[in-house]
Amino acid sequence: MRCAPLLASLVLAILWPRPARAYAWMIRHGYTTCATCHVDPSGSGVLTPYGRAQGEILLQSRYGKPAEEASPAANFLWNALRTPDWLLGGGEVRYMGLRTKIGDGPTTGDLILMQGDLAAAVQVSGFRASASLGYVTTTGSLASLAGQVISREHWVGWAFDDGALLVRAGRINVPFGIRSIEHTMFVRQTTRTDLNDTQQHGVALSYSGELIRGEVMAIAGNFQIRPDANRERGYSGYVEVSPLSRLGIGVSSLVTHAAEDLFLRGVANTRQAHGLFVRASPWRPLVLLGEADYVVQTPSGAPSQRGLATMLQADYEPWQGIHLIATGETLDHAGSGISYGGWLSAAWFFAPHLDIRADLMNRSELIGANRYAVLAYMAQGHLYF
Amino acid sequence: MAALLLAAAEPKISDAEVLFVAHGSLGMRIEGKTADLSTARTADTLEFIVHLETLQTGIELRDRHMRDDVFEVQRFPVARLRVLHPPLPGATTSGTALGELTVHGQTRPVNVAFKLKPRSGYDVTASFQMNLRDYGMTAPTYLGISVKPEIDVSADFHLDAP
Repeated sequence: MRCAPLLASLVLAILWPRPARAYAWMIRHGYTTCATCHVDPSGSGVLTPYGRAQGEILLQSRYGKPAEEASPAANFLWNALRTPDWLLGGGEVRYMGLRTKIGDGPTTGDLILMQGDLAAAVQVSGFRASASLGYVTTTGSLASLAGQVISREHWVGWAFDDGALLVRAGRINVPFGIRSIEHTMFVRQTTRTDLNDTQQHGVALSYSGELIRGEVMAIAGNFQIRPDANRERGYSGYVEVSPLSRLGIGVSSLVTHAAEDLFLRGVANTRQAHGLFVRASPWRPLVLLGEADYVVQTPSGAPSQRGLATMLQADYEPWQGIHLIATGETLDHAGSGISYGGWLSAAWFFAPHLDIRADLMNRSELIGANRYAVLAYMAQGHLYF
Repeated sequence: MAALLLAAAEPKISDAEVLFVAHGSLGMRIEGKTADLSTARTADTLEFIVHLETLQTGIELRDRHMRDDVFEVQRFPVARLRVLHPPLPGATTSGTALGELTVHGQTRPVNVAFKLKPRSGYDVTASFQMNLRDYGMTAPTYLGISVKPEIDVSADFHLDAP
């Protein structure tokens, strides 16, 4: 079947393990920057002590409790193992049940360990370091160290100006657009800027300020793939301005080149992505997230491929800890058609470090000249420690 | 500004919003709001009064820290801004007035920037800066995130016509 590899890629896009948490909708609480809660100043990954406390105070359902301090259970491993102040522990397990139907094919089901990561970070004076080590059930991850053992990130850096400025080097989440856990969305897939395994090695400079936050990264390539010709080199970055405490408007830009693009059958390719994104909470229970990215690929010996990926998401939190999420997305293939999709999701952060989530995803995806209907039901449990 | 206001026998405030903005480390911005603003006349001054327990920042626990640990509202329940030497009135006026701010049991002079706009009374906007340390308060620190002592305060309200 000629389309078998394409169908397989569709399925993989859904099945692929989901990355660490990053909740852009925390802007509803006036948190426009990520650095207060995460060691990574652009969000996701190991939590700071402040972030751990907010995980209980703001993230999970409180069941009518009055304003209380975060309990000791908010700490690493539910406080079972105390670490020195300079050492921050963390880790996540995410398990998913999935049923998928592609086109007229049969509905298939699977149980997947999406994530099983241990992580740690060090903060001593200005010194910063963070690393994760995990295991995935699939092979061929771009984050693979050896087989199914992966490291999504590992970096060292130095912070200046009371932590507002951070220079770091290592394998880093590519700074671009809205950092969210839905890594299979068109905006994340087409720009290759998800939290799952598209991190790159390089050097990055970030700034976390009240009015402006941003990060720019010189990309040296993903040194966890071989040969060197597959590695993309270039830059990526974003700047977000927050004129109001619950509004962020940002721009992103990325240009990379690979001598043999891993996803374009090994031809030389220059990729560009330039986009806008918005995070807004006009009413505290509601957060709107939007992103639009213009993407250009210039493969050697072939015409340029242009496209526009968009995403609009509404996150409604009627009761603390419960999220009802509606998402629409499109991918315009510049003249040859539009892929589009919709997600309906519900998540419940019901206990310290624990949440469950259900998703219904329906896509009409254009691949080459063919259009495929993809329907997926997902239910997942997530634990962080 | 206050000369205009003093013309009112019983000045009444409506549509009030008092806002403070605190600035924390790592880009944190904390906004606290209340609509609880009242006025009181004395012989030749006008006082603006805010009941501090009504200030809300949007996070209940943070409000509790602010009330109990910073403002100590049990001992010092209100903040008072007394306008001392009011500038001359005008149809539409903006400028700066010298005031006295009493918070946390301590009184310090402040320069209040204001704008008055006639509209069945006056639409008033005013703002000033204060430093928590000047009033014997400690800027809070919570789990590694610190708040700077310099606070921006502003108020928008309508002063009804007499």
